[in-house]
Amino acid sequence: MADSILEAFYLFLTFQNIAIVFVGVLIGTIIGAIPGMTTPMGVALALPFTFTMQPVTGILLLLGIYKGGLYGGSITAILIKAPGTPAASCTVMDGYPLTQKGEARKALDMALYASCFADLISNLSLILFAGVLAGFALKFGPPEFFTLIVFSLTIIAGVSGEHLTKGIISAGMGLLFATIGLDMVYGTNRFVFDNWQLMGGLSFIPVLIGLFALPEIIRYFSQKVSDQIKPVKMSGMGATFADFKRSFKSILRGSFIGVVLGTIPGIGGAPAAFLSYSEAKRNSKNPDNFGKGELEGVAAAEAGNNGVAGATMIPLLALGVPGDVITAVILGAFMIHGLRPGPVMFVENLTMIYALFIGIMLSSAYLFMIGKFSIRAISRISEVPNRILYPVVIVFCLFGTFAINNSAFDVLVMLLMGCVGYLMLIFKIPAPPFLIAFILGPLLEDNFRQSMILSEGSFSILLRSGICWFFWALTVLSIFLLIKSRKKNIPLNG
Amino acid sequence: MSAERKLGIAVVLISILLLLILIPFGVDTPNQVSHITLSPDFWPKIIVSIIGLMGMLMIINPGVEPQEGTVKITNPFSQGLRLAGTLGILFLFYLLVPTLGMVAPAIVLLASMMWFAGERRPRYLLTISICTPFLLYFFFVHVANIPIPLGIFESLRG
Repeated sequence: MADSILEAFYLFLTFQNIAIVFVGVLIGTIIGAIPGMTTPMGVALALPFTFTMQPVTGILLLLGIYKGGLYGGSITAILIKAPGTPAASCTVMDGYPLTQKGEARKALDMALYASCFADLISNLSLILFAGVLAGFALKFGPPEFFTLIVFSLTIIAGVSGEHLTKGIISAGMGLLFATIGLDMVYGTNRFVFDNWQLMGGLSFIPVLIGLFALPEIIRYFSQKVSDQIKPVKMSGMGATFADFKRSFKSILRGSFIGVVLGTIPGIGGAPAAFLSYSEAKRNSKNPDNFGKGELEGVAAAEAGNNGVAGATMIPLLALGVPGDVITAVILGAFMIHGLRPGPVMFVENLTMIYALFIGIMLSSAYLFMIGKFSIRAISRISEVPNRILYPVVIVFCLFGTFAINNSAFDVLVMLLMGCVGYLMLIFKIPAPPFLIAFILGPLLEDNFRQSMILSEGSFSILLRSGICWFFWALTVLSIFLLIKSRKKNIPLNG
Repeated sequence: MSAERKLGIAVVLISILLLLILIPFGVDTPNQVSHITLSPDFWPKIIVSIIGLMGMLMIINPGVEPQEGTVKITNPFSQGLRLAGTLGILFLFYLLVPTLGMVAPAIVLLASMMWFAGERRPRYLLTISICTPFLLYFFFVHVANIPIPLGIFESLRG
């Protein structure tokens, strides 16, 4: 193990890697701070730029964007009441009233301290638990993986928004699109229609960019959307150590809430932020101040939100199962670089995993530096109007998509997926389940068919071990809790 | 009839079309399959059946329409024109790539999209629409070593 750690340092310690984590966190913070942009959109746009990088470098760039995006969303939430990410909507509740009181700087500082602390706790949890879980998962065969992926697909419920049926339809579409190409067992064509470019299936990036970047832009151009930018008000003194100490219990509690909820696929940052906030309010001596500009409220919301970041990587690295939409994109990035996250990766690419851990830890420090020293500049970037931003994003999409395979066909796929995504937007069908199912689809089918080959067509193999039973039980429990939470209208979104 | 119910009907109809036409014609199935679950069309059929079932559920229980985060159609004609214009520019770009490469159409696309969105300041229109495609070109060609086509301007490549 010590040898692996030393090798990991050797692998990580290059100027390129150290710089790329910084660049990633900076880009993520900027993207998170722009209300018209989302973190999945940012990760999708950055993905084509990682092709020629070393796998560690490329993945660290994306992880940096993910972490920066989570924090960046709070900047506009506090300053202009426009959360850059769904998870930052909880930060608005006390962050914006603080800005109105002339204490924006204090709120931003507290959001930063809470984010960095929670991020650190989350990263440590990732380092401690991912290996243990992966060791357990080494016992998995195709039936166990099939049941695990079935359970993972219940995360679709978490990213389906208000309509579960539409979420399942979206996931079905994703699974169906994933079947395009050559059949894995017989090698026959599926939905290829004599087009050789479809034989390898649809490339992941055109689908991703088409679904996540284009629809919002098409919507902007097809509707007359207001382009007015609210002026940024950065005022007051920064937060002190005494402020941090006063909120520390809530930050610590929120960090652990984030870690626990982040480990469960599909929960995401928003419920963690709201749960952390409500717990802070419940335990506070001044619960009436919450919602009126309570600094502890900002701290709790941000701790819950950022505590999720490292924890969502636990199921991704240990089991190869994404915890949310962004980790689904990062899973796609691993695959593009020829790597398959999961227990086998802990055996075959342990050095790389440790190198990623080192980079992830460094990202917490960078997040602090960027938040502390460049917040004013970043908040100014968020003032770029959409009439300039969106056309530039379109050109990034077009170049990035073309660069994957040097193929204009991929550009066509992206544009068509953009149309599909726009139709989904019109009919209020959520896009995240499509993407998650598109990524997990081949794994699900492959493991199912391998199981069927092993058992000569008997379904009993899907109940062959305690692990299978465990995941079936978790799936049933997850569906039961989901139905119960929907009846109570508890918000669940990625 | 509510929009949700109409969508449910559309989903069911599309599922039937997929089951009866697209899957039988689009999926090549070998003459002999050792077990039905291993057939190449087994998985697509299961997926489409689930989609159809969800469509039926939407017909039976359409639920409450969400109000937020959706596209509001206030003026269908002008919105339709703007949508057609946006998609027209994007697909025109795709058609021009084989002849003109990536950079020249991107400059035109960027300038026209910014104009379309309401940007009228010439210095922004010119600098952003020219610099962005060239910067991306230089990144991909000289940093990432990924060739980006220039079409008929290929002779200008340094």
